[in-house]
Amino acid sequence: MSRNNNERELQSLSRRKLLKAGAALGAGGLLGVQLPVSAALAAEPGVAPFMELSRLLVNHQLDEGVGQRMWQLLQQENAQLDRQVSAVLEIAHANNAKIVEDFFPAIPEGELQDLAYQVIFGWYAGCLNTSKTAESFAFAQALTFQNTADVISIPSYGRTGPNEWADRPNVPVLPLRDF
Amino acid sequence: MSLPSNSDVVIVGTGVVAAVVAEQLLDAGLSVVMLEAGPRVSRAEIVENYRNLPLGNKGNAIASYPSKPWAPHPEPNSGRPGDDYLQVSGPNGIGYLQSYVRYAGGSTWHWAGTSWRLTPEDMRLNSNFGVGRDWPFPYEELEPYYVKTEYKLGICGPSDEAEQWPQGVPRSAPYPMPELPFSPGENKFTDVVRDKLGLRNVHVAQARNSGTAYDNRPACCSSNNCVPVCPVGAKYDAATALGRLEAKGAKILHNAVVYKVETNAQNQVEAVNYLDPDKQSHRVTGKTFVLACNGIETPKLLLMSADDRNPNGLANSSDQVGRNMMDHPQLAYKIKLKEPYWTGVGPVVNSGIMETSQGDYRARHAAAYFRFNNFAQNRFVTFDTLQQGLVGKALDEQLRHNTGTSGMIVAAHEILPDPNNRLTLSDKKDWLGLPKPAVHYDVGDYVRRSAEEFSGPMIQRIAEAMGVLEAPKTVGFRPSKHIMGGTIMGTDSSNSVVDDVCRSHDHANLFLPGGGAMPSTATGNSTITMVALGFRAAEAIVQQMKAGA
Ligand SMILES: Cc1cc2nc3c(=O)[nH]c(=O)nc-3n(C[C@H](O)[C@H](O)[C@H](O)COP(=O)(O)OP(=O)(O)OC[C@H]3O[C@@H](n4cnc5c(N)ncnc54)[C@H](O)[C@@H]3O)c2cc1C
Ligand code: SF4
Repeated sequence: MSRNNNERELQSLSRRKLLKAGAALGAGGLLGVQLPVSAALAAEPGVAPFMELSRLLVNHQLDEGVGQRMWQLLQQENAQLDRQVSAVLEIAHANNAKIVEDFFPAIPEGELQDLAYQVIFGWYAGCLNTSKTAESFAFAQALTFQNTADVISIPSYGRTGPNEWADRPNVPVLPLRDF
Repeated sequence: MSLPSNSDVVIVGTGVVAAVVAEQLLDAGLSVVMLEAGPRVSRAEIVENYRNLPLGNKGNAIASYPSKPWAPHPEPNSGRPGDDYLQVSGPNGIGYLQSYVRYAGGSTWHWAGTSWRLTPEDMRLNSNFGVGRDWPFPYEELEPYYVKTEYKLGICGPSDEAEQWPQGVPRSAPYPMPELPFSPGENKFTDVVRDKLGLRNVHVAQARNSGTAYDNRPACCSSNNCVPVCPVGAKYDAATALGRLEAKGAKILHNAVVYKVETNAQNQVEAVNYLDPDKQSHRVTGKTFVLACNGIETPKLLLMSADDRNPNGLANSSDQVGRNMMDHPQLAYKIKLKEPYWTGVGPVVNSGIMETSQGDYRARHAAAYFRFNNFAQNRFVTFDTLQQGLVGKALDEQLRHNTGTSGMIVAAHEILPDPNNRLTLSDKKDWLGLPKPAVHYDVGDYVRRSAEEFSGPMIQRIAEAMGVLEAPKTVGFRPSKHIMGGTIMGTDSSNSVVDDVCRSHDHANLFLPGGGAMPSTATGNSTITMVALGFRAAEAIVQQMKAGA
């Protein structure tokens, strides 16, 4: 994907500031800490297809540690998970999909579309539902925070050096950050 | 366990008021023991609690502080020990569902740190406007204690006089640190209300290290998490002071829930009794006693301590203990803006319009101040956006749009002392078998008139000036968590609980510093005033003990 110079500049600027403040930079645009990956879970046959599907449903760099935790929770509540993942993957392959826009409209309404939405929800929210007691499997890695991390803080993670956020421009909503 | 006996001063509580009083006494050479109902926890533990909360509960400031069974604090709808701990009733009962923390360090763990001083007028409501009560001393007498508070807690604020609050009232010392920078949204808000409404949005004076380390704590790094917890301690909280107090000789007992204050034949306080987590009772004697358990727990403890000499509770010959419960009734409005403002860089509250809080209109209705909160909006907009059915780039764009264009504006009101707004002991019991606190609360016509005639319309004008998609609505009065009034101060012992140094009228060796003493609330967040009263009380305790010695 090509990006214009402005975007690149904005992003490298925010990266420099983050580095200055001592925050860790995840590989490939994810800001903040990455979750540890479990070797045992990585060997689970359902995990690799789930990650493949996730990467097709969400057009961003994904943290494998987050994916493993989400897969575990989904499995607990959905006995059909592996079958449904394969079914949606088949649709993606049949459409030669590289990004979600390539195949999402082809996913039929019902359990397959529900699953697709739930997986997207999980990556953005870091939990599987809106309840106050939902299990959380990601916070800083949750994409809703990554989506705005070039402009505002991820709460509880240091953003800049002392008082270095003065006089920031009131940036427009777009362009999007690539993460 | 051997208990400290007959210390010069026994302090109940380790919140900000207790911590500041303790340090003054230690510095004056007195021996101090502190009894704390809750546990001592590490900052890292609270930060992890917060980070592990699901998104749907991240906005709940108390959820990172699960209460212990023996020291419940209000935790509504949680299924935890504090679930229905605080019983509220009355027309605005839900508006008094306060939040506080019964841990070592107390409620400044999750305060925002906003520190507005009172104005001279705020302390003379009755003389000036014929409503409420006057303070027994003028602003000029409080001012030096404000300075002590600002230096002790590390309160930053503007050096430009035009930006300072109160306006046009001389300060005897500058703030120890400069103001913190605004977020992009706050900059825009400041410009908009100035240009369109002629209002001045000024920098909040706040207990947060600005641009530099202070008090052995680091500078603020804009992590936008002051409520519920500052991950690095750049915001003052009393937990940061406890190690220093111990180094100066304070003895702190944790998990010690004081349930009875005991008097002797001269009606002086002689001891306090506490329960430990094994429900065993212990007695601690001393010469002078300070209750600094906050505006709900202190009157509750006084009422619980009724004895033959004091059948209505300690310090309560006036029948005012637990009456006049006050706060800053607030109306919060979610707004959807036409253009991005982007809150969420810097502290969670960082500016406010204070000039609206003064004027002759206070003869008719309550004053209010207005602010545009600076919380990052992700947690408020994510679920709704995800439920729109968007994917890919469209989802990212919508989510980003909603985050940048959402916000909250707030009107915080003063309230008058009303004896019918009353804390009593519920017949419901907590885990230790102690009565739960019950509060009956009505914000009253003075506040309602303000919302109808003044603050409500002003909020709409502000929203319109900012450029909203639709007129914002509020869910009604909610607490600001600034608990005041329950041990009210005055010169007349027949209608007040403490004198001008927070000494109980009834027991000369019992001091009740903090929010409970405040005779008027004004509109600004009041912990700075509670602490200033703590400094003043500490001075009186030292004098009294030296004279007695
Ligand atoms: C979300 C939130 C945001 C806030 N933001 C602001 C703000 O921006 N500005 C502002 O001015 N104020 C703010 N406040 C209010 C502020 O937190 C309080 O005013 C302040 O903490 C009161 O200090 P205190 O020492 O009187 O009481 P607390 O801090 O509540 O401390 C009381 C202590 O007493 C202990 N205790 C209670 N009962 C007993 C007992 N029976 N035996 C032994 N120990 C006992 C408690 O465990 C606690 O340690 C906020 C409050 C909340 C909840
Ligand atoms: S913005 Fe972050 S670092 Fe600064 S006081 Fe608030 S929580 Fe602490």
